[in-house]
Amino acid sequence: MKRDQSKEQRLQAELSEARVFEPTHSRAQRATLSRRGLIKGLAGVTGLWAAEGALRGSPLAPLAFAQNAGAGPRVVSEQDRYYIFCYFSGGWDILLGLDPRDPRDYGEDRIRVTLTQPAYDQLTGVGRDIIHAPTGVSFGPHIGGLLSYADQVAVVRGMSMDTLSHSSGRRRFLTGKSPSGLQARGSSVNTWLSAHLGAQEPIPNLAIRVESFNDGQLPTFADALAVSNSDDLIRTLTPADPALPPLVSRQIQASLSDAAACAEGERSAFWRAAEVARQKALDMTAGGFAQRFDLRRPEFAELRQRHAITNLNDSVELRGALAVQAICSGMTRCVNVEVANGLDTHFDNWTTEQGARQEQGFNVVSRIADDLASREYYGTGRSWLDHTVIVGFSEFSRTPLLNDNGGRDHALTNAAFLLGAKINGGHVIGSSSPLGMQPMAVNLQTGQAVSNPTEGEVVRPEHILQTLYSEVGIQEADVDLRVPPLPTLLRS
Amino acid sequence: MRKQSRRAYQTLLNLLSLSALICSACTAPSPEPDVQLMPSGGAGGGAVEMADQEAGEAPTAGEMPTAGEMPTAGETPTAGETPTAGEMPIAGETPTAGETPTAGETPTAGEMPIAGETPTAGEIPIAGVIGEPEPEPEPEPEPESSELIPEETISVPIAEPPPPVDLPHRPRRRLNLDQLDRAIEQSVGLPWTETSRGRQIRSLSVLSDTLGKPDFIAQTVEDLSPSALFLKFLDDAARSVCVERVELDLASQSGLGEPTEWSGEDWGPLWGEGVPGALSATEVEARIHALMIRFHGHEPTSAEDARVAYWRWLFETSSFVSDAPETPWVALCVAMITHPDFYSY
Repeated sequence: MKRDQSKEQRLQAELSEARVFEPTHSRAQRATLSRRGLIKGLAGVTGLWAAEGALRGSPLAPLAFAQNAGAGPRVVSEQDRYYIFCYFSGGWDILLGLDPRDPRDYGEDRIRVTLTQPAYDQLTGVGRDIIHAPTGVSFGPHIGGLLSYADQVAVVRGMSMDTLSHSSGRRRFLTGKSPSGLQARGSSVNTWLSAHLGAQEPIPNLAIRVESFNDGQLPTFADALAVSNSDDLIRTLTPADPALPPLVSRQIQASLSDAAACAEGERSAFWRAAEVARQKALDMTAGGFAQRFDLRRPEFAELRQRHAITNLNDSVELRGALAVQAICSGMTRCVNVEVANGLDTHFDNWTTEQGARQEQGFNVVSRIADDLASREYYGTGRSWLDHTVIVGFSEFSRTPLLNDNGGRDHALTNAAFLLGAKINGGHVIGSSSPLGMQPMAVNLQTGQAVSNPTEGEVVRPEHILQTLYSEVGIQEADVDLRVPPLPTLLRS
Repeated sequence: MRKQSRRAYQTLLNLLSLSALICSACTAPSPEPDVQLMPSGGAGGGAVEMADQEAGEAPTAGEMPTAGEMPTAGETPTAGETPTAGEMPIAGETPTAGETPTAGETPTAGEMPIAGETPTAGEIPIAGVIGEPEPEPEPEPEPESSELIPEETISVPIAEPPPPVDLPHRPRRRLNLDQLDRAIEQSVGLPWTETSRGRQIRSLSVLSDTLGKPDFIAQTVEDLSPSALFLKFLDDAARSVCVERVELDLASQSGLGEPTEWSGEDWGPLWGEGVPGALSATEVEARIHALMIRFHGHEPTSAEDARVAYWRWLFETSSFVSDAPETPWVALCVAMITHPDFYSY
């Protein structure tokens, strides 16, 4: 490789002087290299350099200049928005967190009347009672650190998911549309928001253990970089190994680009998408971003402490820290991150795992909020939390009655929470019914549940997404959710 | 002096038109015609607008295709297939054997005629290229010199070509991870592996979560989109196995290493049985054909197969920028694995 490097340096120098140079090959090699080949080779190298220059100002420019992200002057505005969607995987029990019931009113002796069984006394761990925040909003015993943000959290209750399938529920929330079978319909919320806001970020859309969708309607730069753990994220952003001589690598890329530019490549939608993705992959690795996410590095000691990271291989705490790092380093506009898993507790593991894992997730969210709140947003005096919306969701919730196995099965009625930026915190929108925790109609203007269904509308995930979209100016005609936003979710 | 400046100009055009150069070898029609068609008053007629023709390159009346020579639909030069300066033999230069169509072959649309060949319909000879003069009489008086041709637009009646037809084809589908793992192993003779805790494990199994392989708990369907993530790791895989393959083959050929063990079919070294840096042009061409069959399952139909042109170009330019004789073979291997013809079907 030393020979290659010295030759490459020489060639680079000669090409930079824009001179036509003669090859120094042996006679045998010279015989195999036609004049046309020489010209094409020179054109390939020079063309690539020219293409890099031409990229400036093109739609791919954000990727091309990704390495400068966060370095140059940045135009900031109070309206800047970032998003972290925190996914509680498996279907959370909202009785333990966002939609509790007071065991004194919902005792075991009244199960037949209330059709609801909090069963807090069967839980292992610390919390066994409902918690009333100073704002008047009540939370379940495992709300964890999120309680400290009670005055900033808006809770949506009595939301109908219309499905009891994990994938369908998850895709329903992410897209705001009922899947077709298991197939997601439409693009996911993170893709929409990244497409609308993230053209300047090198990785506009990052998904850590959460699905993301682009139905082809949105630009490919908004496609999520979806990884399952931090190691894979770092590996994704690290240049290929073993490294080939740079000029050889460029020739390879040039040949692939030209193959894609031919009629067969142009005709094939698959090939076109692959070509865009190939360019994106090159840009991702060229920016030197891997070190920004390698939280093992010494400079991240404080970050590790702030997020209580003990497992550097993979943990929900680590994912939360990565989400903050991605947002605050100017790399990303939207992060989808799984902050809790293993919540699908159909059996007696409900008593041991549901509450603990849910609480762990709420703690991750509160640390994310803490970290965002402690960082100033580009010298504006405002914090990153003032510009970042945190959304907590799960695919559905669990039945209000325990099953014969001592666990809870899937239930339609769900809840979600939002925090940060312009979210109108400290209050609840909607309600589940007092009997059996069914979805209830809500007056969308006031956010209050109404007993007469004709006076309101049952809240669904699309109402929440529509609210987020409308705040940043994404038009209903584009997203086609066919529901109005929830005005009380946002501060006026 | 004028000849030198024109050659320099053509060289400059070459530098700026790599894509056109390569794509000119394409035989399949492209959806967009490169010529600008202007509607004319006559029914079914049109006009080709050629603006800003350089005086020295303006085709004389005798070289312009007549109405009877109008290109057919299949011969219409299309976007990316328009002959560029780089495809045109420079005056006084003899095309090499590899660049000359074989006997019996008709140059495709976009290829310039070679000395001694009669241009077929649809080809527009350029001044300076030796060719047989067209015998057809011209209705317009022939200008005595190129200076007489006005610099503004020249309109020539031309039949409106039919709209391009998108041939029926099956959409491509990406290999899933298991298929890809086996495809790499079969074509290179090595699986893509890495060492973890002292054990050799398949890298694609390590990356299966991130690359969307279903676990049938949370995910039941594999994402087969050619995502940036997939292509990044495919590039990693290609570099890893190709470099390892070449190192093993070099060691084996030099007698320093063990004979290569093939976990799939024994394809032999990428460069065949010879020495990688000492192959003749014919041998290299034969190896490229062999590698196309090995990696893509394509058997080139002729020496001028468009797909061969890419790989020949890559081989020549890679050998040009590297002293190591094996590097072009690594480049070919990596490029062929990262080409959609390898990972989709």
